[in-house]
Amino acid sequence: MDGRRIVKVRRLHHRRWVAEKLGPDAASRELEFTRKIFFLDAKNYHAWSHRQWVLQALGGWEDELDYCAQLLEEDVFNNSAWNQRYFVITKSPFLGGLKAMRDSEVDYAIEAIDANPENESPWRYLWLNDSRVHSACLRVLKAKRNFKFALSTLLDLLGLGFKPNQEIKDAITSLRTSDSGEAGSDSDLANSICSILAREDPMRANYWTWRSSKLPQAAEV
Amino acid sequence: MGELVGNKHVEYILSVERRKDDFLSVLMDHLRMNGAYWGLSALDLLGKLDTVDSEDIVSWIMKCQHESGGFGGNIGHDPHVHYTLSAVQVLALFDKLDVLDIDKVTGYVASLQKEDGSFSGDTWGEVDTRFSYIAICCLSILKRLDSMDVEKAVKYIVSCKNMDGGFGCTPGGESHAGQIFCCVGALAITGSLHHIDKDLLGWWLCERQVKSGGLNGRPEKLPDVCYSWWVLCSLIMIDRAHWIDKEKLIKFILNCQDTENGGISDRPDDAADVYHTFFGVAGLSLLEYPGVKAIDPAYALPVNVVNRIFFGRCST
Repeated sequence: MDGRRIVKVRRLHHRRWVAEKLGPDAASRELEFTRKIFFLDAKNYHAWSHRQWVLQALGGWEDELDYCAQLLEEDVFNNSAWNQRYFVITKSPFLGGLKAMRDSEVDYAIEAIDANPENESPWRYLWLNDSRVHSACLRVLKAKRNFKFALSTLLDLLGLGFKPNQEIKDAITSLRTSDSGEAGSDSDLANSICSILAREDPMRANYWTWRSSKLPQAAEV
Repeated sequence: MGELVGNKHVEYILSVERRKDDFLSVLMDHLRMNGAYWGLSALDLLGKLDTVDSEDIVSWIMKCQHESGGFGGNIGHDPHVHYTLSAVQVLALFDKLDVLDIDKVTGYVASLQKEDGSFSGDTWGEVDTRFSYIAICCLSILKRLDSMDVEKAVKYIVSCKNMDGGFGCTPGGESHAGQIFCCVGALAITGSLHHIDKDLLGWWLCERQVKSGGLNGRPEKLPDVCYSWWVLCSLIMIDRAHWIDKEKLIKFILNCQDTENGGISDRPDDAADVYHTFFGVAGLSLLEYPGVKAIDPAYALPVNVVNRIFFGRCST
């Protein structure tokens, strides 16, 4: 609760003050300290903030990507660990940055998506302009379960000019239901997607309806 | 659907205020100033601010002021910008901002700004976008925003924007609804909302609504009544509040009430506390629930209080 949170933060901050005085040797000790917190609460926001500070101020990047992988193996839904992955690949002096890591990270995210397509984090981790993303969406659609993020990703892709193949079009069509009045009357793929999403995700019906109003007009070249 | 048992919540808040010496109160002693803001704001939203002794409270608040100009969580406690904002907000509720030495408070808050535009919470120096919001909100209420470097402050906040459209506590920090509220609020107050990708952030925010109708603060976390404020408030400030199911959220908040003893908890059937009572009532205010006063999303104060600050006395 809030009182506990504030006490923890003060202690964390005092640790930083001490660690700064001790220099880079303190890095492994501080990283171990946050590891212990994550053992009990792997998404503890202040501990993640402290860990990011330690890496940037004192170093210790070498094992960080492996640590993220370990946490995601324990809980692939851990959004903090996904965020830390992005933090590491963009800021670690040992990995070559986003360009160098993009390929392997797309593979990593898609593996997570295939295992749990309802997992929001890897979908937000993707770089869209990649054929592996199209294939992943298709696989999820064909399974006809937990396809919300696959559909919304395809919607994003259509907005970027992506031209889906017949297989994808058929997979989308098969998700439409005749009783919702879309079949036959609505040949626009993107509009179909929005209708399906409004049906599958009624809490956010207003959002999906808005998305369909934002689609590029069919007449546009 | 249930209804808001406003009178029970008023009784609950007043009873917590009276319970100064029990174990839990002593534990929370250091953040009494925040507790005062949560409790008194909730009372005002429920139309019952006049049930407390304002003179008593104002006099206690001033005893919490440090020689630096900042306020501590209680008498004799170290100053922090968070308690300073709560103190200023409570004084605003009572229309007693004139008891302040504005220069003194302004000086303290402005002194916490760093070279890169960020703000630390106190002399220990921990930086967090929460403190950027707190400083901006505080100085804005005192009409002294010119005492800080607003451009740099905005630049720092924008540097904390993530790929998903959200904001974290520091650059690279995970997007979190509480941090997002702070960044959006700060950008709103400083007229800088154009830095936000409203469509992208709006989607991230509306995805916080889970099956029960409640809102969580990050993907795959449990819903919590306080996010009825942080998330909904942010959505309102970027004009995307219609992207969530408001009826379901109202139902969730009402289910978090302790209808017997009063108070609201983080989720149904948990123990109530003043923090969640405030955010539950504030959330219902944003949802225009009948019987609750309107609250300003950026300043987290009743609209009539904000109008009074910026437009002077009016008949409401």
